Amino acid sequence: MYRALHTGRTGMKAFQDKLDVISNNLANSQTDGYKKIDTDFVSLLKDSIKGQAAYVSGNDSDIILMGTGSRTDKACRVLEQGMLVSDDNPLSLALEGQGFFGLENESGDVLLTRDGHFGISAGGDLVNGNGFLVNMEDRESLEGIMPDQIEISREGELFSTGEDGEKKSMGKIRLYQISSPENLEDAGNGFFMAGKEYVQELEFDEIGETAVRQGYVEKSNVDIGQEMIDMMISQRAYQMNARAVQSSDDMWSLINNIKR
Amino acid sequence: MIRGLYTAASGMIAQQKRQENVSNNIANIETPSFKKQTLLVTARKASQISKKSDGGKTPIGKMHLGLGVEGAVTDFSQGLLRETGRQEDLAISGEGYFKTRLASGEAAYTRNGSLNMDAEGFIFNSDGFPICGNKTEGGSDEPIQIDAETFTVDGKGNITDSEGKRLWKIALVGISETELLKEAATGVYTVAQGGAGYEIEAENARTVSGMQEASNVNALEEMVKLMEISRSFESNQRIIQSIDETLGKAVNEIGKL
Repeated sequence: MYRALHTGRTGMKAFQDKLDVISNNLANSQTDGYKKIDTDFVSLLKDSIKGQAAYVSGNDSDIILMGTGSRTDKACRVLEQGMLVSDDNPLSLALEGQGFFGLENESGDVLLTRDGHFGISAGGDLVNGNGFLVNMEDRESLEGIMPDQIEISREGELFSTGEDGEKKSMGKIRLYQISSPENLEDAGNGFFMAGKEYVQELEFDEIGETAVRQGYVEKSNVDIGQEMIDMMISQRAYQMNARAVQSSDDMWSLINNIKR
Repeated sequence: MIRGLYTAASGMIAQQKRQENVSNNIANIETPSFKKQTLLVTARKASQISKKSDGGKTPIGKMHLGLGVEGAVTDFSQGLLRETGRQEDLAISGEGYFKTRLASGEAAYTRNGSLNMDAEGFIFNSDGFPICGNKTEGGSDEPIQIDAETFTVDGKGNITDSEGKRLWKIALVGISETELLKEAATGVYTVAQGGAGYEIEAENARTVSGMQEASNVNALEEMVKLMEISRSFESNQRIIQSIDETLGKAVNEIGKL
């Protein structure tokens, strides 16, 4: 009887985990730059019926295999493009295509993100809301420059327009590419990290499909309709597994009541 | 009398095994490419009953001694195809299998075609098994290894690089006798007596990209089975109780002074 109870339990746990992921996605359906999490189900190993007291006719009991339940597979971020919505702040940047902005935190770690809400710090650096430095090449100080004087090209190069109308390059934002979404680790607050071997800098001449869009913000890529449907399916599947556990329990109760 | 107890108990044990199998099907109701399994039960071998009065010389007939498990049958019917939006997810529509290899090098088959590439360019499915294909038309099937950074796969199983050059074609085969397929690892099947001889051309199968095959477990069917097993189990329990009662009378009341 143990086996049926445990199999049902693994099924319940799997759907519970799926619901956790769905809740997280729904909670972040309005978070800019959020990438939804996806998780798949995997069946657990099969075990042979040998040694489980059932009489087996004819065939070798070794070859009669039964599964032991299911579980969720490692959760993975889905890097689908989120919708781009225009924003008043000239330093709001969104990425169209694959790639991430790189930010440097206090410990010097490189954090990857798609959230491009940037501003100019008191020291003249391009920073995000937490004050983390945006990784750039050939950085020039932006001290004293107003955000609306800055123009950012599709390749991520910053130009500031002086009073004389002359455009001067103030540096280029570095963009990073990840080899596979499975290698992304969560670093909290919408940031990701990845080991050095999985991250490469995006060179624009190699992959010209990514563009930096100034004055735009990338919305969450969560599809609420899909999440709601997944939630309903998971809920019903959870219920079914609970019924299977209940049924096992009823049968065990019958065994216990054979002799009062 | 005692034999009756064991007969009913064997019924309960066999139903218990069926229940475990149904639980497994239910737990995997959302697992992609999962194939449901049915446990076959059969009457245990019969025992000859003879007339007691002439010392057992005249046979009266046969009586089966309960229920036993005969085997497990995997149902390879098609699961629904669900769109994932991921071009590297290849699903099979029809009776066909992708070719793969076990760690021991033995040939095996799978329906899971959610492809990924590792650091060395080998193509694996999401269960971690290498997918085989051929480089040239009519060539032998080997685990696919690509030199390019990224790959695209189309509905026919052709793998092309970023310039559209055809690198490999994923092998899709049929199996002539699916009853011989035995699950060797998650989602991977081997043929009991050694693979290649049972491979046939996959005539009515094709691959579709951007989709995943759902589990072929039918919720209604499993719930009805659950109810049937439960009641059958209960019937056997009643029989045990009844036999126990009769035995009780035989032991305690017959010949009471």
